[in-house]
Amino acid sequence: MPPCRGAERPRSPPACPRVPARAAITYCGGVSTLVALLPPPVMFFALGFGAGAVRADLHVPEALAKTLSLYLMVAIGLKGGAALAMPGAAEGLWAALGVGVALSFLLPLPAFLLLRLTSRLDRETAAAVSGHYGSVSVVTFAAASGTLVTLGVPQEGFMPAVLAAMETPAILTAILLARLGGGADKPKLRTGKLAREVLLNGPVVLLMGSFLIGYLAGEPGRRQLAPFTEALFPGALCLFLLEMGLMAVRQLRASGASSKGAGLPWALIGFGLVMPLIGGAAGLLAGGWAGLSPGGVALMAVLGGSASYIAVPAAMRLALPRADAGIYVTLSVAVTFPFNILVGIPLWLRMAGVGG
Amino acid sequence: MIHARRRIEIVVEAVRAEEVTDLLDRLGATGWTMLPVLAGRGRQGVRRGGDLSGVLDNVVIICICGEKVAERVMEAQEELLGARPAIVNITDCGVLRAEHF
Repeated sequence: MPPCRGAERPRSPPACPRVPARAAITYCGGVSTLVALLPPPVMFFALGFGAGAVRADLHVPEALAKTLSLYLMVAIGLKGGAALAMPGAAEGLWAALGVGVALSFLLPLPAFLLLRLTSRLDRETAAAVSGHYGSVSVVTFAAASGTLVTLGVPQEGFMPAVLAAMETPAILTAILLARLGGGADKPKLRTGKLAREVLLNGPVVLLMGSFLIGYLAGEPGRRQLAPFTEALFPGALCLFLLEMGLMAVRQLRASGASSKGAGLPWALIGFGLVMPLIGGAAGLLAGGWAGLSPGGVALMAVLGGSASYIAVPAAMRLALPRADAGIYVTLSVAVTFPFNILVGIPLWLRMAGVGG
Repeated sequence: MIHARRRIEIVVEAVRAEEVTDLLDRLGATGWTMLPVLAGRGRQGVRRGGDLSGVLDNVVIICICGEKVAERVMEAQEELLGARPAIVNITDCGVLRAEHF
């Protein structure tokens, strides 16, 4: 494992990011280059958003976007599993998993309260939205993790397992919030199908499966797959974030063309910007309490502040069919995701004491 | 020779499509066809598929059947509407091979 210059932190876990030596010399140590302030993936997100806003003739094929999303999960899982296989790397794993799961269960509560107090959303939609904010976004995590690697800041290798564990608990809280005190005419819950969706949803299966494979393959497997999981990762992230920028604009435009004509109400947009700050602050405190390294604390804050847009919408569509999918998908993809990429990640890195 | 049949067309969310096709199978339909929807506009405004979770994707389910199956579908409309379809329409159509439908 090459040494990470400029990352002289005594509690460095063995999962020191494997940046190529040349990159480590260039970027480690908080060099205040444009790359550190505005990493290329973020610039690609801005490019996608800008191109969408001016209606440029630019499209990423849907199948490619879905493939890239699968790739990111496989790469994150494999890297995390291999890092956990290093001796001593599991130290602190259970505490981090515990606080992650607790955050996912609990964060929908303030979200629901905030929505009911500040917006006119019906109970079911408010519950569905709050579930998204307790759960996590894989790509926000990927972007934050990539930034840490660029900066040469070590991070706990097991964080992808925490990411996977945080995907689903929030779904259960959201269903409870919707059904407690709701009206009498609740639609029948298709329990079997829902349980399959919650426990065996694609992102969780792929993340955990790749994590396990990475763990079993260990260091030889990591070396073999490094060109795929490590060298390709930043480029794939750029391409995916380009599509996310385009998608954010598409969603905003579709919601603007809704029957009410005005798109998302300002109260909801405000929620989409404030809730990541609440979740991120909670993640920051929880990560510190669990004894993570500064890089790990930053990632926990990013996880707390992020909102799901793959696993949770699918589960909510089955569990709470009367909730407005247009609202939760748009808020998560077009408001909170851009906010986290542009503001959240730099903020949490700084608050955790990394990122220059 | 063209044989008169009924053509049932249902626009429904992709995540609920299985409920509709299960119902059609149970009511004796000999088959159905499912098509993806790119976008559409209705009472709730524009809806465009292609988000990563797939929850905004719609599909069109087309089922060509005889009068009896069409009547059964209309009788089961409460269950059909339980899948929250956006559009259900039934029209007359003609088919070349009567034994297929």
